[in-house]
Amino acid sequence: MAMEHLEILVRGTCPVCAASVVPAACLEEAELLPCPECRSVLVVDRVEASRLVLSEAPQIEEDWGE
Amino acid sequence: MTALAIFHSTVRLEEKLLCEAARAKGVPVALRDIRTEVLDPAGFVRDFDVALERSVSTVKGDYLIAFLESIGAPVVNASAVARACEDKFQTSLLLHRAGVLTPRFALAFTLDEAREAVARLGGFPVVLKPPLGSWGRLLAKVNDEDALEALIEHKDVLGTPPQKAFYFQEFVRKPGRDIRAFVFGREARCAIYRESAHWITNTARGGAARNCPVTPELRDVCERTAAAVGEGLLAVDLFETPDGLSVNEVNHTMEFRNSEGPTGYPIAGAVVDYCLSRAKGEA
Repeated sequence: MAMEHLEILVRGTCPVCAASVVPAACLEEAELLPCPECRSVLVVDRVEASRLVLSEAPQIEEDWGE
Repeated sequence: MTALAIFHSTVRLEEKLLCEAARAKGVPVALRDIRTEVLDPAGFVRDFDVALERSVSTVKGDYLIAFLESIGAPVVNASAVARACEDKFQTSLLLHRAGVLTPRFALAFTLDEAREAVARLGGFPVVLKPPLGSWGRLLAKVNDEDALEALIEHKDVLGTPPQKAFYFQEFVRKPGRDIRAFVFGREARCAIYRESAHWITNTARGGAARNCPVTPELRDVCERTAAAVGEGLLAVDLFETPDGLSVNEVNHTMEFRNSEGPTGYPIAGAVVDYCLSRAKGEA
C-alpha cells in the first residue's frame, strides 16, 4: 500500500516515557525520530485522527546497510 | 499509475530527498513499505512504471528485487548487481576476475586457516570484515596473533552463520581519507573524499565529506568496476595507493545525504532520472 506524505499538525506519545512528541518538520510513515525527553529512537507507524502512532524503532540488524 | 515506486523499510533522509526530487520534477512518486507488501505473483497489482529498491534490510530488498523481476517490472538495481555488491567476498572475486585493482583478500572458516590467510596477505595488520555488513560496523583491524585468536573465538561462539565466514583484506595505509564515487550506469558523475583520522572513514562513522574531482583515472576505474559488478546506481569506495586507485567495495543502495552539498551534484534528482530512463529501456 502506498504511504502518504504527512502534514505535521499532529503529535504523538512516546511509548517509552509517555512524553508528548511533536515532529519538527514534514515526515513520512516509517521515518525515525527521537523522543525529546528520553531520547529513544521512535518510528512513525501511522496517523490516526490527527494523532501520530509511534513505536520504538527496530534495532539495527545484521543485514542493514547500504 | 505512479511513475516511480520507492520501496523502503525504515525511511532515511535519502528516501525523503528522493521523494522531494521526484516531486520537484513533477514525477508521480509513491513510498511503499516493503514490510507491508505480500509478494504474491498471482495477486500483486503493479501500479508503477519503475521501482527503486531502497530497503535498509538487504534480505528484504533482495526478495523484493527477485519478485519484481519475476513479474517483469523494471527495478533498480537489478538482482545480479545487488548480489554482486552486498557480499564483500563476491565483490572482491568479481573485481579480481575483471582485473580491477582491489586490496588483496582471502576467506577462511577456521582459526588455522585464518592464520594461513593472514600469512598469505603478508602478515599483520589485516582487516577482518563481515562479508555481509555496512556502515563500517564490526570491522576489525587485527594487529597481532592474540587479537586474531580472540576475534575468531568470539565470532565462533557468538556470531551468526554469516559471521563465521572470515573475510580478510590486506590493511591499506590511507592518506587519512578514501574516495566514494557515485556511479550512474557506468559513469562516475561525482565523488567525495571521506576524511578521518580513524582508519574507518565511513561518513556513517563520522568521516567528513569533501568534494573529490572526477579524474580520468577515477572515471575509468569506476567504469570497469561497473562492468564487473553490473551497471546500476553504485557507490564505489576506493583507496589511493602507489599502484593507483584500488576499489575497496561497492554499495548498491547508496546513501548520499552528506555528498550533495560538497559535490554540488543533485544526486537525488539524478537517481530519479536514471530510474525513469530504465523504465523507458534507455539505460
